[in-house]
Amino acid sequence: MQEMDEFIAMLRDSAEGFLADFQASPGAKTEIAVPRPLNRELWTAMAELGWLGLLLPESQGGLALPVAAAAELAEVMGRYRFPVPYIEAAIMPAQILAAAENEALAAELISGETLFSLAWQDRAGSDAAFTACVLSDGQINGQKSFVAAVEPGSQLLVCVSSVNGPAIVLVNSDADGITAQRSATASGSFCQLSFDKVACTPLLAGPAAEQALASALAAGRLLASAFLSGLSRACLRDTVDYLNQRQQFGRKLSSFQSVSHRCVDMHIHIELAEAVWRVAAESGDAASLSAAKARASDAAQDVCRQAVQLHGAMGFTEECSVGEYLRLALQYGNWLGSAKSMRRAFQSARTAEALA
Amino acid sequence: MNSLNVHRDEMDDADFRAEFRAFLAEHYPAELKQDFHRPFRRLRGEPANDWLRTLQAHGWRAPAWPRESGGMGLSFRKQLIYHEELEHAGVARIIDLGETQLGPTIIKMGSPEQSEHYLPRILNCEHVWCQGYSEPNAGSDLASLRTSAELDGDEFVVNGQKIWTTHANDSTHIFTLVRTGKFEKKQQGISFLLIDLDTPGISIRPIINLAGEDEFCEVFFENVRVPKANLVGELHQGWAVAKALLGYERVWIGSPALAGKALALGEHLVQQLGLEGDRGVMDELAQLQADLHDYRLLYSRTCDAIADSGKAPGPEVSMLKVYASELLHRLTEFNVEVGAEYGAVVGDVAIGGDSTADMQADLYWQLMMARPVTIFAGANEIQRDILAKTVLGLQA
Repeated sequence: MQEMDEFIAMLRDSAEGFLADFQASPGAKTEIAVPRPLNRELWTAMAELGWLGLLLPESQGGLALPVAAAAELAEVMGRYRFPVPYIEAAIMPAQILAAAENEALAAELISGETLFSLAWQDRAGSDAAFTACVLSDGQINGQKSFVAAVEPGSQLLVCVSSVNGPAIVLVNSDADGITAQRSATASGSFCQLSFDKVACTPLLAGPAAEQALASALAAGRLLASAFLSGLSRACLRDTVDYLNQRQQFGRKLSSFQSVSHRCVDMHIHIELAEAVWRVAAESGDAASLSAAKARASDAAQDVCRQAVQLHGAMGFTEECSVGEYLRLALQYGNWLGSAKSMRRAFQSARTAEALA
Repeated sequence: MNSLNVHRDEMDDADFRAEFRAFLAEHYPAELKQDFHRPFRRLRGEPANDWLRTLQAHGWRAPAWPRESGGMGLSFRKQLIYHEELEHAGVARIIDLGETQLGPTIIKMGSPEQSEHYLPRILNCEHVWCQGYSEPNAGSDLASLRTSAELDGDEFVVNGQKIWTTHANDSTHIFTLVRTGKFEKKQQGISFLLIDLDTPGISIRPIINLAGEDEFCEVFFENVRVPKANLVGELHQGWAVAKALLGYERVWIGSPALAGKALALGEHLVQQLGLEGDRGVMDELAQLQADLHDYRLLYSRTCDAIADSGKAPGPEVSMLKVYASELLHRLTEFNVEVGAEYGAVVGDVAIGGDSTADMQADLYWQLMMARPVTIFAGANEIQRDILAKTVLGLQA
């Protein structure tokens, strides 16, 4: 236990240094409505830090850390508003490859040499994953929505239905028969993918496929919650710094109660978010994980929107960093379950627990 | 030493919890439990004293006091368990300020003679204490208080008025903050003085609150002569004496217990009224359920941090009071709103058309009893000022 605490402290420390350097670099600035390609050089550097294989078992060349450790890393990434699809392209695909016990693919993910992307979602606002794409005769047909981090040459892990039930198959994103419609997000892009008779390689089938997806979604939701919690904290800190420095009517803005009391409410919201994701990271139960994602999604979007207001006209410009925080809050706050849908999931899990 | 000389402070946490749970199940009167009719039920007067004496007789009284003072000497963590079990068993709250505030103050700042005289009388309920801090013009701005105490020989002569004095009409004594001098800062020149309510010159007038109860009172002092020996701590240093305990007060006020009772009422109401299929109601309920779930985690995280540090709670605990009290507001408002016409009733009503499943509730009472929580012990506006300045570093 203590060993793990020390390891996490080291992980956070090294992440701070790396992320601070990145944030000071020209490549850190995100653009509006432009899909952001994944920076391969940066990805390789992250691979060298061991971040890509954090959760993979040692037998597959990973570090076999608990998901709580990865969440700590995501929290620091949030603090530096890191616009890189780490959860999408490293954490979630790794859960699938671990379940598939595929050493060769795991090695490619860990080294950063190949990019992976999990194409799971059938439609917006839903966890349905095994209906919109169908596998037959070794080929897949259908659509996938909101597929994150699809890059040229990426390996797609596609959730499909087959005669034997749910399955996950491997497809190269450059394969014939795939068309992609791309939309921009803060840290990259989403693709709407259509598959027309695309040849694929089977990876997982039956309950194993469903379980692998469930663990990928759970890890993704936990890390997104931690990321949003860190993001909110940094956004509030920047806002407090601004309010302490900006003067109007001969007073610091921080001295106005209408301003300072709003900051206190933002702070309490963040404290709640952090308390919940940390418990969810340890316990892994469905109710607290849903609660964590709901709370963090709400807190981050609320804090970042309020930060726009508290920065005045400056907050509405791209000259200050508030917009970057807010765009990431929108992305991770609405992907993998909005606050409202996660609260509904929490309520169902709680009712189920009470009946059990 | 407590009456049984048992050392529950040395027990394993789980055993301690089990033993207290069993004790409460056996000894707490069922008719005095909190229920949907009175979810935040408080005991006062004789029923309160009877229960406190039962606790005393079995060695469960004064969890936070040191053993040598007659308390249980529990660690902060065990005190949390103690409070959780009271909540779990539906034990009504008791505002026992002698135990929770005056005792710890005397133990920390009082003289050995004061400890010897007052502490045992608090424990056996011979003395029942109320708190005389607020005045008509000194509420949230407490340091502006004006009730004066002038030395005349071996006695103080007290003149002035206190207000919002909870349960003064059930109490035998009052601990007060009084002005003994005028200095540059208004926090200076305040002293902490113990007064027997039987002393000539004191009159008490109960005030009826919005819930219809005479919980608080005005207390008037007219040339009341109080022995000099009743001063706790140094002359003029009463502000520091009173402030020493505020952190703990905010931790206990921040307890999610009341909100838990209000949510249980809300969940039951939704069932009773057959609203489970109403997505709007269920989403509002989900928000409240998640808020309480998340708050419980924040509360225990904050309390764990205090327990681990071994230090008194810092200003960050103001956050607990703010959130818990405002959540209680929202919960009780939800209960009135989903109650529809039942929410218009002032007082008791049987809820639900099916007479076999009637539910007795008083939605008015719970709404009103939640109101003062955002006001007392430092209004939430004051707590936000404290948090802004000390925790967030926002400059004045």
